[in-house]
Amino acid sequence: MEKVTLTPNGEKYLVLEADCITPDNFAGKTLEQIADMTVWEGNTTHRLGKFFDIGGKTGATATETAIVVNGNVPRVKYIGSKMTDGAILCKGDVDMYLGAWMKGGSILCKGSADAFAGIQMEGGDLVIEGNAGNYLGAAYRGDWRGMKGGNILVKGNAGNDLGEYMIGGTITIMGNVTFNAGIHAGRDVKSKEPGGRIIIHGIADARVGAQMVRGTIFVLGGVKTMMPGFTANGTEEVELDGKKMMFSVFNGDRAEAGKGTLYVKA
Amino acid sequence: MSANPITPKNEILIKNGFVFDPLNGVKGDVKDIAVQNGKIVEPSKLSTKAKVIDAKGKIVMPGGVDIHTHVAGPKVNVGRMFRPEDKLHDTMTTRTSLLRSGGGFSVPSTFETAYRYAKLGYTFVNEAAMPPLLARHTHEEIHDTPIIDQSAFTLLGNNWLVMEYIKKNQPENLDAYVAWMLKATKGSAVKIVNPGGTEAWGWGKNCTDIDDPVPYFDVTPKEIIQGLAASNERLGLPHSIHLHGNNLGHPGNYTTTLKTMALTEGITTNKKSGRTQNIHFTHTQFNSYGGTKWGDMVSKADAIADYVNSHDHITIDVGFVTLDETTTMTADGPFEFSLSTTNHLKWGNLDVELETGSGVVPFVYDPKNSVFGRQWAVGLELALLVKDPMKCFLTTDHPNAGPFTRYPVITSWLMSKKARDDKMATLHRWVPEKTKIAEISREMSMYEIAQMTRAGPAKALGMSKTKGHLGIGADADVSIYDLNLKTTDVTKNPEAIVKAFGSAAYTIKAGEVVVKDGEVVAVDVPKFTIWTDADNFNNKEVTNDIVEKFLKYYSLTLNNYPVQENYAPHQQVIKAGPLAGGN
Amino acid sequence: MIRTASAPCCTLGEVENSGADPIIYENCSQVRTWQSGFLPLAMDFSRGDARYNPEGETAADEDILRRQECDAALVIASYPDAHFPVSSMKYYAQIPTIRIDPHETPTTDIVGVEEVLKKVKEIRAEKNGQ
Repeated sequence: MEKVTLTPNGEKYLVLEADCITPDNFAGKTLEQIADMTVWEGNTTHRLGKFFDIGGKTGATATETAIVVNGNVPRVKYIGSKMTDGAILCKGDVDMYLGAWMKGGSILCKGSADAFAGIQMEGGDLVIEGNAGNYLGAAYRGDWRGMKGGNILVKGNAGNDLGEYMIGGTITIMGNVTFNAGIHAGRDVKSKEPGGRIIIHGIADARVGAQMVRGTIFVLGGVKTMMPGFTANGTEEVELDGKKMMFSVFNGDRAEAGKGTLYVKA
Repeated sequence: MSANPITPKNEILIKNGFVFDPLNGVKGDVKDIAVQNGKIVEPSKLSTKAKVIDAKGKIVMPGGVDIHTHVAGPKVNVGRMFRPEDKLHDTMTTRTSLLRSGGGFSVPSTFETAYRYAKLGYTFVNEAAMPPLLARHTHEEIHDTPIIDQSAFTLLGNNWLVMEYIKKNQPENLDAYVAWMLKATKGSAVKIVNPGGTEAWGWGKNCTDIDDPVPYFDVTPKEIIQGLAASNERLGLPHSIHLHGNNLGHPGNYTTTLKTMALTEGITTNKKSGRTQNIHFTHTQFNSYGGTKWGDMVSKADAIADYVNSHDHITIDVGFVTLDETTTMTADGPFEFSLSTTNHLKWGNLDVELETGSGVVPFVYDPKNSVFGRQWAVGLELALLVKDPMKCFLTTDHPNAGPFTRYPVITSWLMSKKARDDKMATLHRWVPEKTKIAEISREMSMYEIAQMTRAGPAKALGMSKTKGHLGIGADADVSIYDLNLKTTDVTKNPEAIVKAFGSAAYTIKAGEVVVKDGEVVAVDVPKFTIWTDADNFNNKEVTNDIVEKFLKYYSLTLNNYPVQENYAPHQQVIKAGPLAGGN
Repeated sequence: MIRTASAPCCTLGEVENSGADPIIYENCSQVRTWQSGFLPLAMDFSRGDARYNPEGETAADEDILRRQECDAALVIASYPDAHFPVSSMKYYAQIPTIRIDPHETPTTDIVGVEEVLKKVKEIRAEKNGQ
């Protein structure tokens, strides 16, 4: 894989929308062409090169292209959005929409990501070593079709509404989450399909699996407030990451005639 | 009309095109069309300064006429409001010095609606359902839809006073009220949607059979339809009643449809405006199903087509299903609720006091689904089995069965069996097995398409004096498509139809070029709201009844009800009723 | 009836229950929806077409102000100081603000742009023949 490096050069901005930063867009381009790509700051356009020093080499295709964002960019949005292949490494924080609508490839963020990371993702791997914001792997506003495939791993905590309307794929949070994890999960999943998987190692606040229809949610650290629409159905031993653990099994959300399963570690 | 100084801006000579003008019997002849001051004139009348468009090898037609679409009004706006995702992957228009921004795949914003219709070569579009209480909103949206002429049909089929006058058998009162309502709402025609059923929905009920009585009012859909049809003909309104039939969208409903269509057989049609039908049955595809449930649903398009073929008092439009993700929106409140319980998607419902109601639900017509595939076939069967395209018009009940941007691809299905077969090969195997579409070999001609999309609708609307044709005196609304039928066999290359008709070479509206090579080049052209004034009654009883309804039931006062002039600043009024020497 | 124009360079924020005339508020909602395609909350016109994502990205109160993503504010007949979260108002108090309002409100103390209000009064006075 060839690697392109974007190093923030200290030029100030309020917030940047940088949908151009994807292996698909960079593949086959020269560094000059990349520097000339457009980023938006409000209603003004700038060259990407105004804010980043561009180095390295591009691959001929997305598959062969890796991008390194060589610094902390907590105000740069849309990195990796809609990418189909290739790799992105972010060496600090990033803003919203990291990997939104991605279809493949991999993104590793060493810092934290803001809201809407991985929304309506279809494939690929998204790893956030810090915290994730709200609406991780969720659906776009108004849409009833959320994440379809791929894997999201967050080593820190996540916010609310993760996996909203989830259809497939896996979301793993090593830390805690706030409320509405897995809300509306499986709304658009056909009856024979399993739906998505959410695994929360830490504690979930409230409304886990609210209005869920299909899919599976695991909470290992405990749920502070359970949804009333879930029925308790005994216990089950399930193996996760090679370890066998005992879970209380809940099915619901009955308010939606839901057939989702919520495993809470016993 | 005052004489405008004749400048090249006002004069266009379209030379050498293949002209399809069914109302004047022109079947693809090479003919010159001359435009002057917004009207079609004799070419000899033009000065030497006329702009010349060389349409050699191109098709020239009157501007398209959409007889039934939902593009302006409160329920359309609900569709926009509650579907941000309808904009998500749509190509939105970015603001330019000429164009306003906007978009929406199935429910575009108003400016975008105009741009998209104009690019298809359409110049006259009829908003099919205007709730009278909210007519002001409809007209404001019409005002924010540039370029295209529009009219709006006034919903009357669930109206309290209409039902009371029919129940009490007071035809003179009904006539006066209908005329007053058209004037108060600046509507062009009488629209009836699920008669009685949407009023019954106020009680959680419906009227699925034409003999089902409406709660409290104790009239039946049959009586409402016949009562309003008779009134329509007495008033001599330009269009006939425009009916969305009861029992829409349910397997087995074709029997209701046939019974409904026969209701006005005995009513004498008032042919003053040029139309020959006294009932227009809309989006008939949705009412042409046999079977008992979705599993065994079959097409009964042949039975419906047989009826239409053998009766001259009726016209229909199809409502083709295009197999897209779209948004349904109708004044058939109970039907929309049942859709939402079927597909579990968000549902907007509105009751309009004393008058009507509506429902809005997104809908995904999955091409792989056997039911939707059969619906696709039903629409095509209907159009191909009805022999006279002057009786059967091209619509998708936009956006209910699909967005109007699909008209070109529908045209290709009608003109090319190969296009139908290619599409069918991607659908569920039950489509050829449980419908007759595979057996139909008819391929419509360009003349017939012009009948289905221009001549027929204009005539049925009673507006064929100025719309839907290119004879002398017609409005200068012209569309030119880059398709040479002499060198392209469209039956084998249906994509050529989609390309040409999706992106007009020229669209001319009121004598000005608005689209060139598929791009909008002008927006500030004369645009008219067309409505029907049949009101010259001095009916004290009706006036008292109206005043009483407002005092007792309406939540606003009578003087705030009629649409004021400034809401429709560009009116074209058609006179009917006592103002036109009738009734 | 107020007709709102699209504003290509700013995010339109809607203040619910802002004290603005509810009838005008409701009418504005409808107009902006049919013109742009979106619910008239939290619309972002900065890139020349309407984009929409309230409660997360484009809403004026929590998103734009709290994240300090703007450098000025234009407030029309609304009272954000009475209704927006304190975290967004802290930033609001620091940036230049233009207020268009026929009335004096407590906000004018924060904002300090009185010329517009004076002008409105003058226009009104002229109209009323004073």
